[in-house]
Amino acid sequence: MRLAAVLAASLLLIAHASSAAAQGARLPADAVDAFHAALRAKNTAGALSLLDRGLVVFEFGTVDPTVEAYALQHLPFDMDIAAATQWTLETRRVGGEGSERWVLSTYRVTGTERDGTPIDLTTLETVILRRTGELFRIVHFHWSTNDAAFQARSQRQRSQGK
Amino acid sequence: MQFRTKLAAAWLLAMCTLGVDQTPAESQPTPPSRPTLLRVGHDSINVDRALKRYAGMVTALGAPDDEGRIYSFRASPLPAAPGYPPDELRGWRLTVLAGKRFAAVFEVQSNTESEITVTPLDGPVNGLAVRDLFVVEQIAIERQQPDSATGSKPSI
Repeated sequence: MRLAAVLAASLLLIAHASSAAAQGARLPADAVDAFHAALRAKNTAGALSLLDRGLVVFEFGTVDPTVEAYALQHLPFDMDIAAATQWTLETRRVGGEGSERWVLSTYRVTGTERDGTPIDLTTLETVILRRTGELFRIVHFHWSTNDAAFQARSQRQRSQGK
Repeated sequence: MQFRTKLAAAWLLAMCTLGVDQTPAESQPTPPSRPTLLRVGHDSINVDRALKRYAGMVTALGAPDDEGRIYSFRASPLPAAPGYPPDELRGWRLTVLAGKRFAAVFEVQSNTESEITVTPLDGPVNGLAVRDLFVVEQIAIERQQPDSATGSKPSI
């Protein structure tokens, strides 16, 4: 009986320790950086825990209208990209006030595609965050490009469900 | 096949009808500047998958044990596919993508083409509901262990 109680307590502790939910960050920019770090670490739950349940994602002309849609359709691909490339923060501006903040970043993204093609590009990222309690979570991402041809390629791939 | 068609329709409906919480963002039209922009963006890059993975939708919950804990559920692959390879998912990490258990993580103990059972290590799946979404990825769960010196759990 005592052994069972100890076992149950151990399982409860392990279960609690393995839960990556209920995260966030005290500073808006930290939430953004933590999200990218979670993608790089292939930590799906860690990335999700930094997203507000009201998340909307705009990416290259298409929309993920809910956090569930993003998590199912595009977060896995963003994780693949994060794992295969290096992202260097080039510029960042942070603003807003109270519980609504924004973080504007540009990243130099380098790496190699599957066929050996070098990757060397810039990603523009707008992030809006909302504070709940003491922690900020991301309510909006917007990744964009000023290259019409590249954007068309991205839109075509996304519409095909890549 | 008819079931899969219905499931696909249900999924599309779920994607379209899941609530969108509009953010009253205060627009600041001052994007960071950079003199020369090369190719921009990241979604059309062709890279290898970081992880082998399967997504799915819960179609029914398993029977609870004597204490009401549920460790299994029936599911259908998304996008529609014949079924999960039996027991291929053993040891893989399962992450819930929707519903009350959003972002909860479990380890798969076993699976058939249409049923997944998780280990008790991460607790039961109670709270999971029909139509909830999940992804199963070929990677082990990294569980934090209690600090052996202090007995306390390290912070996340």
